[in-house]
Amino acid sequence: MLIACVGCSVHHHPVNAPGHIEPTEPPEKPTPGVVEEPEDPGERMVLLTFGGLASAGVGYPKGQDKVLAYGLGPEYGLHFGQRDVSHAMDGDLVLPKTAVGFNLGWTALANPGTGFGPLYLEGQYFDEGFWVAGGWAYDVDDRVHGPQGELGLGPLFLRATHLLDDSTALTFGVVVKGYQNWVFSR
Amino acid sequence: MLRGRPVTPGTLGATRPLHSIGGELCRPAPLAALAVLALNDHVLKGAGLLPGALTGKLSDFAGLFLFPVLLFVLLRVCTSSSRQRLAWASAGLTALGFAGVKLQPETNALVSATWGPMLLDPTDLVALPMVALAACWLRREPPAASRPARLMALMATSLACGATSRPQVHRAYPEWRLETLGARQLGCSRIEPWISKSGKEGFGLSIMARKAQAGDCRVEVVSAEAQIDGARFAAERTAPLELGHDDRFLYVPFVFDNQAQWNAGKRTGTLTVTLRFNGQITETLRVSMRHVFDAPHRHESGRAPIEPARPPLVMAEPDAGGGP
Repeated sequence: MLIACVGCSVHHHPVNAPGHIEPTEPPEKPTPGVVEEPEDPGERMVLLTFGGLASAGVGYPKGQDKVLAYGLGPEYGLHFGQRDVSHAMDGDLVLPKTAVGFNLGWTALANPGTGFGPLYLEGQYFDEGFWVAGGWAYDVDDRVHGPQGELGLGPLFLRATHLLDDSTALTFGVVVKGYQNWVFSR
Repeated sequence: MLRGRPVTPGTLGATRPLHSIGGELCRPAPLAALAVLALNDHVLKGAGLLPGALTGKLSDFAGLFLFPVLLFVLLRVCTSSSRQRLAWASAGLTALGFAGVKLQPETNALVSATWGPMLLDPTDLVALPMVALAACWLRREPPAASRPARLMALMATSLACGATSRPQVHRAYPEWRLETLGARQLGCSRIEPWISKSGKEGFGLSIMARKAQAGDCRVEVVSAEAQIDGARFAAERTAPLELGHDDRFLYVPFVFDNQAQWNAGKRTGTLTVTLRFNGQITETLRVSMRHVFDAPHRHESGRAPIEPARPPLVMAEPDAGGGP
């Protein structure tokens, strides 16, 4: 949570900073002292994300009637992304257009289940606001584990968690995350 | 010991508890200013719907009406001064702060670093009369407003005044620059060299030239070499160019892996160009150059909040060659 206090920050790294030019072609409008604008090579980004998820839906404990399912807990992530157009050129958020990475989270408050909810580690692919994630969840208290997956659009997501021989939950929720973003040129 | 005065809406000279403030912000004029400020800062600027000159000033006009009203509301919590005195104090403080940001580089740098990028643009002071308008408007006691409405108006106004619009920026790139700039006479010509292209794949040297003497004047680049921290990159010779009294351009491409040079931290070099005039006289120009990267972004208008310091311009002395 200390890291989360830092909020959202962007750090520009100068590696690969020059733009693309065709040096054998003279400038279109030669003007003394003026350097022609190079072509934008795009950017790569490394993001450390941190925040929390909250969701609610329906749960199916094994051998019982369906119950209200919910989940609340922190999540950290490390993602590698890129943009064809640099963020400064299209007035967009300083976030990648496409990214892959992984999340390490803990659904600390969860139902169904006893005590604390499961820890999970999942891979994530992000493309223009849509994202899909999948991995494995492990509940330390109940000593059960199983697959978990999400489909998301921006901060909204639909999560399915199936803890083998224990329960299945389908929840809809919201994720709020800050980031530390290291940006460098392609 | 301080004794409290009874708090009734409209009482002049009374402080107000925090939960009762903000009635002024619920009136049509500040709400309209709030709408204009938010719309202009976050939708219109850079959208191309309105001229940039208009969107650039619209927020100043709306903000210079809205900010004194917000300041007045906040000051009323902690002071028991009369309504009229507080109104003019709010207007005066706003005007002083705004003038400082728009006129003083130090103040601008401080505010830009802590609040958000702000242009150092004295022409924005044209909106200053809005603070006087706000002070006059504040003299009237507002009608009662519900607590949720006052709270929402206070929050929205604070957000709008606190959140500066996203500056219109472009990505900036490192570029090779000659340490010496300006025109000079060389051989039968008057020339002005500069680096006109710079990128991952190398850079290009342009030379603007015109005839400086009577008679024919033909110029060609017979050799050109860039030395960057010991590494040498040669350019091909150019075809002869017949000069006239108008400006003509020679272009000398240097093709090499400039990105590798940049990533290796090589930032200085020397450019040596040998020109031949009328097929006979050669003259050599040696110029220092630097690989410069001021910042990862630059402002659209080209007006950075603070202009970066640049080295003084000096003329390079050409080395006269000994003939063909």
